[in-house]
Amino acid sequence: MAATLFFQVLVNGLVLGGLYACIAAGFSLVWGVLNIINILHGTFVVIGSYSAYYAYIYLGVHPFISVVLAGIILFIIGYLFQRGIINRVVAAPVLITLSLTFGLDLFLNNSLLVVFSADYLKLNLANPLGVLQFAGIYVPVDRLAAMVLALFLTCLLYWVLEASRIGRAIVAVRMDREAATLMGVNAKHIYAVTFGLGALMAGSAGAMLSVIFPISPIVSTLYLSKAFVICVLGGLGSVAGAMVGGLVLGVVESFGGLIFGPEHAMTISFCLLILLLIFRPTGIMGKKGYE
Amino acid sequence: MSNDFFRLENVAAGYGDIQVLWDITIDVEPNEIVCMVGSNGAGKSTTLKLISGLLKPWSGRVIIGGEEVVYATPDQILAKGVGQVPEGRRLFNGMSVKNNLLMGAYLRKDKEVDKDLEFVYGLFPILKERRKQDAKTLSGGEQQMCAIGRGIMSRPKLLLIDELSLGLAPLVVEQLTETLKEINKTGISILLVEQDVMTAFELANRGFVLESGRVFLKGPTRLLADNPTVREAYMGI
Repeated sequence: MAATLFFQVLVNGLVLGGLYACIAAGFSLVWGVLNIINILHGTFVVIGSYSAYYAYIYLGVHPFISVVLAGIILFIIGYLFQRGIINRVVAAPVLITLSLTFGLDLFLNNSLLVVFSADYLKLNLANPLGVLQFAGIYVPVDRLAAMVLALFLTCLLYWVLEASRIGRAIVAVRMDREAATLMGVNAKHIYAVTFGLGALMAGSAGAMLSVIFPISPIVSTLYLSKAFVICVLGGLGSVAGAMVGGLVLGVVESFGGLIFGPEHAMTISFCLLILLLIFRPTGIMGKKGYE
Repeated sequence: MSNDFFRLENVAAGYGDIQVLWDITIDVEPNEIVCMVGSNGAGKSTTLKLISGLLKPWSGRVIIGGEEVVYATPDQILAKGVGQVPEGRRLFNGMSVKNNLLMGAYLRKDKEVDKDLEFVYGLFPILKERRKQDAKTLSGGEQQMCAIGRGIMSRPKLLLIDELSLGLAPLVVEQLTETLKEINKTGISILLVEQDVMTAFELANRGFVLESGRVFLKGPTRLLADNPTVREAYMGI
């Protein structure tokens, strides 16, 4: 393989991977802290994409700015879902919460289908930022910017969990709910904030993805399955794991697409998942528990 | 009895249909160290759960800071100035020592949290040294220091300590006892729950002996220490 092609594919993979990391970080947070496999996650991404699309069409707001808007909208949706519905079964076995989020996803996703239809929308920027060329490698600047923004958000989430008051409470509730309660933490509120943050990450990623991929409610399962693979790949429940897992999946898909054809991208990610479950079930980062 | 600083008055409580506490009356005065002793299953931990709002009383009254507390949640109890060092330390593993201490100040909005953090580091210099380490890497004694530090980070008026000496070497317990006296001198009252009666009586000036969910004996610890029943049942003398 020519060196230029190799690096071109690598760069494509990393750009994609950065966005994957952003999607997976939120999914991983919810799984790790609440022990909920959130089937709604893919639909949250799609809602983020639609928010960015319509903000651009009707208000002329650039998707990179509506990342904030989409994040806020999804945080509110996520908070209310958890506080109003999921909190009722949060301590139940994982199958119960899985069934619940699955049901909620059916409801939400089909509502989107009714409102927006399944037709693909494509957001075409009036003023694209052009293409960067370096040593024969081409990178669309919009994609690059989306990746940088996505990685920035992922790092921000890491920082929030590590160094903020609310982040400490999230980790504390995960470690020992009763002890956290004795410190004055309202666990129900913290659960809802955690779920809201997960949705926020999904929504922001969705807004950025709107400049790259076509938008439709039916792509939600695609994002969900990628988040799932990345979480297992990177190691469950850590932001750093999601980051590494996302980048790895992006690169693997990129090279896999080149070698086997882009239509096999999903097959490749799931083959990777199966191999990993056999040989390294704790994931690349290899740690249990949240950090 | 008319001490309004902290008082349980004829409290009964239990889990589901099972009654655990009968007619418990206990009080702590400002700046006092009081202990509650008794064997396993006497109702000590249940009493603490009740005080901290994790369990609701069936009957009786809980009075904190001159007010009767009705159906308060743990965060409201903490806001009223009752902090807790739970049994078995219950530190947050995976979090640094410093973050564990800061969790104690979770409800505080004032700017003096850093000052109090330094105060805790002053009491337990080893915690300052290890502030960036994962709490689970601490030794048993250091974990108890961290738990006590976390407890006083909420700036309580009354600190509940559940099983101070559990699983710790006598020398470490001795050290902790001295530090608790120091903490008490800064104006924090302490209600110590202990199985180790010797330690409890050394630290506290008054004590309550619980048995089968009832207050069986009470009084100054120097008198309790001379009580033949206590000596036989709890001190093995």
